[in-house]
Amino acid sequence: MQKDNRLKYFKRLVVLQLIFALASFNCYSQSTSKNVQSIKGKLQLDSIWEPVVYLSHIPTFKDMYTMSNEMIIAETKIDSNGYFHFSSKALPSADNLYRIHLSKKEAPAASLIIGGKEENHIFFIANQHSNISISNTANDSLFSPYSITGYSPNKDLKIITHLIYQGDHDNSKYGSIKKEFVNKTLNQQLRHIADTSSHPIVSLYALNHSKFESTFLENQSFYKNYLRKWENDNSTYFKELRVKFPKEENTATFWFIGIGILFFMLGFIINYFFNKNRKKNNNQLKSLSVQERKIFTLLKDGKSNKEISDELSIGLSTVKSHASKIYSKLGVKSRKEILDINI
Amino acid sequence: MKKSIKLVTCLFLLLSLSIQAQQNNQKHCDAITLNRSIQFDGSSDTEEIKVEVADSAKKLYVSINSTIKSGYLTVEVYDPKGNKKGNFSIESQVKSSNKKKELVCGQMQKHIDDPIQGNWVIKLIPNNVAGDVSICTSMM
Repeated sequence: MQKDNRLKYFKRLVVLQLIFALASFNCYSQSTSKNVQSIKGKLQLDSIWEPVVYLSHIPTFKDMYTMSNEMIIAETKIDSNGYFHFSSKALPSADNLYRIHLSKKEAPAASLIIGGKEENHIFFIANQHSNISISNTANDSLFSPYSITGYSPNKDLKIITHLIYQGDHDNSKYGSIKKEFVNKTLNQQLRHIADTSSHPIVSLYALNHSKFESTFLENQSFYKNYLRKWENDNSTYFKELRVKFPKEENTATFWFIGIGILFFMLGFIINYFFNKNRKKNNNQLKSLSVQERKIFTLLKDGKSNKEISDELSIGLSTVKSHASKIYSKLGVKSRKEILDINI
Repeated sequence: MKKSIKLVTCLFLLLSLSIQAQQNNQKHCDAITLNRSIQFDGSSDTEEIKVEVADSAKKLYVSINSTIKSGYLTVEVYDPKGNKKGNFSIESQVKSSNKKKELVCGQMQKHIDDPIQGNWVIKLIPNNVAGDVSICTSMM
């Protein structure tokens, strides 16, 4: 009896342990799945901010400082402890540029503040497998400083942003000549990052801030190599860039058109001389009599004096006499030259 | 003796505070501030606001605040050499009426030390915009 009770007790214990193990596993898998694919963070806010975080998709670099409700793809509330969370499952599998922003209380959700202590946004790269953590430090500014972890390209993006900001900030200390020098150095530095970065968006972000449009002529080979390096990237970011560069195909087209014009002119010149000769020959032929023209046609057909004499029923000496007149009127010395005349 | 030292210290502190307050006040008086407010009512005409910066200006502060109900507005800031110093765009696709309204807000603040002398340009490029833009510039 006691043995049976022990067995029952043991069975219950095993079932309970199993249920507990299953529940723990379920909780764990839920929590890990949340951790693996999410954009989350902790923000410390002033009372001026609405505790809502908005996530916007930035399809091109031109749209980085564009705000509309259509760009906002998700929003989430910040809880009382400052935590927020977006699932990144709905994001595209390829890396894209995103922006999170907050709005002031009483301000519309689609609010963009650029510069100053109230700058309300940051940019980052993510995809549907991203697990990104964002946090700020209690300060007089919302995102200055902030920390972003979980996806290494964002670290580089932040370094570039800092570099640009630092360049702008340092510039104000110098005179105009030194400013120009500092700008040039900064742009070279950004182009170097663009050249060496293995991530397309990071690379383009650096290039876009290096004022590449104004230095295109100075660094043509760099840009040609750059475009060649990323020629297989068909993202909207690269499409936007390619439009800005003068196309290589255009140069080729220019050459084709040039060669075409050259050949056309050559043809025109040849035709001109050919026609000139033909006109001259026609004028000379007009000076021949009817009989001489008949003999000329037969001579051109390669017939002998005898054959012409038989065909026209005239004497051989008459043929010879007409032939010599034809030679002198046309200015030729032999039958061969008659064959070369173009009519 | 101690009392007189305390008294002198207090007087010195008061004097320092008074001088500092006067200096701050002087700084405020030196600033040249200009406020502009522009209203768009379905307009698509580009507006250029020129801000003349004198050689003596050590700092330029530009604050642009815009709220639109409909349309697409681009704001650009150019220095006298024609270099773009900042820009932003806002768009509201809903055609506002009494029953529905969608506001979009864009704000930009720029602090420029030792600004280039000449005409700085704030270009407003609206496309069927209904909304307001307020510009505040200040030079010191």
